[in-house]
Amino acid sequence: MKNMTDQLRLVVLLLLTALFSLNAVSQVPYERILNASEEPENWLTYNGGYLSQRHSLLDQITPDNVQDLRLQWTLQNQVFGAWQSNPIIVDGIMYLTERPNTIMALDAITGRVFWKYRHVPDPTAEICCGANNRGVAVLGDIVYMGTLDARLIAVDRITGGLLWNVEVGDVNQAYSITMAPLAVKDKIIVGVGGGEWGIRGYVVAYDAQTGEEAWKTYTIPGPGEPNHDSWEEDDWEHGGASVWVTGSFDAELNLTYWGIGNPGPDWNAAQRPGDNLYSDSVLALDADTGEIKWYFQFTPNDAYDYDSVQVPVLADITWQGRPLKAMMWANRNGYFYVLDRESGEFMLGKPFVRVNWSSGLDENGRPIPTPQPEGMPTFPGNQGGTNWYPPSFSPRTGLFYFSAWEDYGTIYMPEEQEYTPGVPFVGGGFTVVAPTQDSPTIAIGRTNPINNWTNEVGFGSLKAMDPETGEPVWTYDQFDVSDSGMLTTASDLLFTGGREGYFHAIDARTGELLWYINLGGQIVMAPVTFMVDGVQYVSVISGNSLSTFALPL
Amino acid sequence: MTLNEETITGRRLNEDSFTVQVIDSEERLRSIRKSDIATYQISDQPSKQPTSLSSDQVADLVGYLLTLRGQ
Repeated sequence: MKNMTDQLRLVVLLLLTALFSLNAVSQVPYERILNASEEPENWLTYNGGYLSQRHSLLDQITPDNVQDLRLQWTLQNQVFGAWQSNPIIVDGIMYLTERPNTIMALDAITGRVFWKYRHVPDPTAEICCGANNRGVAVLGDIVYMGTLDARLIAVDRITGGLLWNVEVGDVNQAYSITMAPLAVKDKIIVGVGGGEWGIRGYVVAYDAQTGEEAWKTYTIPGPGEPNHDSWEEDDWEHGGASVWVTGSFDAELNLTYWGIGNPGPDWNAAQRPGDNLYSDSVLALDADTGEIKWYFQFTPNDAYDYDSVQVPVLADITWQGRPLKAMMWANRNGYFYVLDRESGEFMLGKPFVRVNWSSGLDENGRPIPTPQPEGMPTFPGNQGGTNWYPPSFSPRTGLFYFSAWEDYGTIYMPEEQEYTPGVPFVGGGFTVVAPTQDSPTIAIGRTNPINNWTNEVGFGSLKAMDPETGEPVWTYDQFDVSDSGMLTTASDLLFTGGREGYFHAIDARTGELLWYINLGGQIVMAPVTFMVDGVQYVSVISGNSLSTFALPL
Repeated sequence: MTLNEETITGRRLNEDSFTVQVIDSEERLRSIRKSDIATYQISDQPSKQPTSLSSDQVADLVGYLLTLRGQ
């Protein structure tokens, strides 16, 4: 009997040891995210790694077998609306959000849900463009989500239980969070939305364990700070410059990079003279203190809503014969840029779509403005030559891939507007250019299953850009425009989608379409890939469904 | 004209990158894969009448507008 008890104790001890070890292995310390490319079976941060290349080293799915992909499972969203969440995958567990602010943990092999944590945003929250949420961050054993009512929430990764919930911005002044947070070292970094409501934007970091604020950097300098004189009088107090897409991080330089949104009011630049820094800029911030190390402004005194909230894509490349710590950026204003991410120096900038608001860039990358006469169209239009959807950079091909909107224009109608708290602060309106009056045009989002416009009002074009020249090596056009991001793999596959609901696999070297499937709903986020038990999966959200594919098991 | 040498004439209802949906001249709903199309032509005629007025009514309207000159 004593022997049996001892044996039982031994078994329990071994089980506990195994369980403890599993938990220890399953944690996501900063070092794992830092070295995310070394474990491509997981997708540990918004863009797959701190450099935001959205490039996976997985290569089980290849150009030769991609047409054999089979649907493994589908998860249906319970909430209607554009589903922009980016999944995070940790050791076979997928974490993603559902509108408006629900976190889910699910089995990445079956799609079955372990738990949900539901935050109900304050009903007075004001959102410009839908109850969007782009996903979570994971650090240690905690999952983090920003909310529409401008809070940052931490929940236990295993149980889904709430750990803390802090205010990031004042919901009564229309501050909000739609981006996925970025976990860097022991901090969680987020930015605030509300650029159409007269906020003053900022990036803010919190202690990952306690939720205490660690640093806060305004995206509009206050009195006495450098570049405050890029605003007149009190325009800076309600000048927008929101931050609504996740940034990137260079651990060697200890710099975290953030794209900054439009100045407010959006369309009446005459109402806010000056460059309006740091709207429409990229900010390089010290990751420990938030200090601004450098900035580069893409669109001074913007009159067209050209948010620079695109993902800063980082790569160490050989550029025109010399090594360069590059930042690549296809901007909403229609220009593709290469910057030196150590200094912010402008290296290259070229238009990638039709541009008429500017005749070019000077030697410092500053645009030469050519505002169009009243009533005449501006290219690119209000949604830009591209927008927030994540690009990809493949170190194998050396190409930068992104969705562009070709031949899409807008007629702006600026108006003087006084700031009133809780009221949209946009300074006028706009119409999309149509070939004849009342003919169908592209909407801001997909609102109808029928496309009956002509290519004259615009179309989608995936561009494979060579950062050496600023010229596309190839393009892949779609009839409709695309809000889809990109994913590239070590087998030189490029996965993407579009508003039509097609999910595409394309040869990343040639642009040849290798496989596609109609998933039925608009694809408005980038695909991700991961591996569990030796099987590579690709997941993509289309409409209200998350679909996961793999080769036949 | 399709690869099968069928000529389809109709009005376009919907289109995406791979297919086009039309109502043909015999009022049948047809969905056509673009890869099956050998050649196509787009009519110069608008699919929607610019006005419901008859030609006489248009002439009357233009005549009235001309009387407004100088006012």
